[in-house]
Amino acid sequence: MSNSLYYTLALICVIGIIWGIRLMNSPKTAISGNLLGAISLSITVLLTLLKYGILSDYVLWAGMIAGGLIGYYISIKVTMLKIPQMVALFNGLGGGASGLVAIIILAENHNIENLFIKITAVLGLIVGWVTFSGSIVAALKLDQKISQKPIQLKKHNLIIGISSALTCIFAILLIIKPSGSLLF
Amino acid sequence: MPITISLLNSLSGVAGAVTGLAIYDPVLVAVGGIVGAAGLILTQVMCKAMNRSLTSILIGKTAVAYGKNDSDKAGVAFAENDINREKAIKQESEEEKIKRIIEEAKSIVIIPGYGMALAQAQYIVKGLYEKLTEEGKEVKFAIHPVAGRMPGHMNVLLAEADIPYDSLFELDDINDEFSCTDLVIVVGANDVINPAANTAEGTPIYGMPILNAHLAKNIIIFNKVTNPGYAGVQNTLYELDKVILKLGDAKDTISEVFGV
Repeated sequence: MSNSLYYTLALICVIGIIWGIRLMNSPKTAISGNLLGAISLSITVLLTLLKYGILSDYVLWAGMIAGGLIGYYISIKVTMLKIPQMVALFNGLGGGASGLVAIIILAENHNIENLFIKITAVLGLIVGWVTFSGSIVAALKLDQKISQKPIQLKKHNLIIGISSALTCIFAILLIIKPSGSLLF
Repeated sequence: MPITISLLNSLSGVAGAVTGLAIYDPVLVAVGGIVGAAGLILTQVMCKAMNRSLTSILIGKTAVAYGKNDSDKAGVAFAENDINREKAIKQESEEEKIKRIIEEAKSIVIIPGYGMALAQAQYIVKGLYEKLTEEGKEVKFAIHPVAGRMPGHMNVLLAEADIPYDSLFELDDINDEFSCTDLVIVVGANDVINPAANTAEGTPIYGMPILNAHLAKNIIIFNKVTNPGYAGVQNTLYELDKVILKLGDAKDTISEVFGV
């Protein structure tokens, strides 16, 4: 598939997704909006598989089917009351997926010289995993598996400060480390 | 918590978009961008609704007021006992009073909260809504932007029970009407109607705009307990004279009072 065809079709799908969100404005059209969004997203996934020529990769399909079945099972089983937890969990998994992709980029192409890719991958790594861990904690809190009361640690701000600083330091190290070595 | 979830939601979009940049996939960037932008706008709207900056929520200033709260508790518990005793004396007349209030009420506002979700009371609320509208009363729902545990939580539950969407009103649209409302029915909401938000400095809800339920002529509250809600601040509304407290599972208490 040519690049321009892929981009054109993908653009149509993106518009479909936005239109779907628009339809969710009112409960009357929300169901069809949701459907439109889901179909657009599925087509986008198929398009991407086609473009990179991995449509026939059976491992990929096995993974998608397994994941799809789990998602389907959860969404059927879930009670209305537990939907917030489910949303938080799924959301976190989305962040985790981005984080995994970032890891793969950084680990597989560890001799990349392209600074842009390095920086964006490191950013994706950080934001993705912050989303993952945060959403999992939020889901557990909503499910009352852990207390819903805010927990204030001693020297809360100090801990947050140190962990943010460490994140920044490691991010910079990852970006400027000499290529060709995965570890230092 | 709803704000944190909304922020995390947008972050997952941002993560996707950034990763899309790294692998040169414009579609991933576009979709991630949509999710990220939508989430950030929602986060901003909710922060405004709570009148707090995003950083103060993230750093977690919320818990600072806890110590202070505990010291107040003894006094409040004492006051609560008094209320209960008074209520016990009035018990017989209370039911008649409720009946009279409901009959006389022309305009009614229902305020749902997380307790409605917990008790799965949205269907009985729907029954209540139908009964009251059939009697020719004007019934509205007032939805606080951070009611429940996630954005739009109440809207989803009420829509699930087939309550018409145009009878749901946001904070800004309905807050001026409370002073001329005859009856406010609270179903499992606490922090969002706590007048302490205007006065109790240093607490997590201080400065948060609330639904001005306390301005209404009469208030009936269907809550499980009078304990502080999620924010951990005693609700001063419970102490007002015009408030009738019906404690227990909202499903049971509503059907007991309204017979729906």
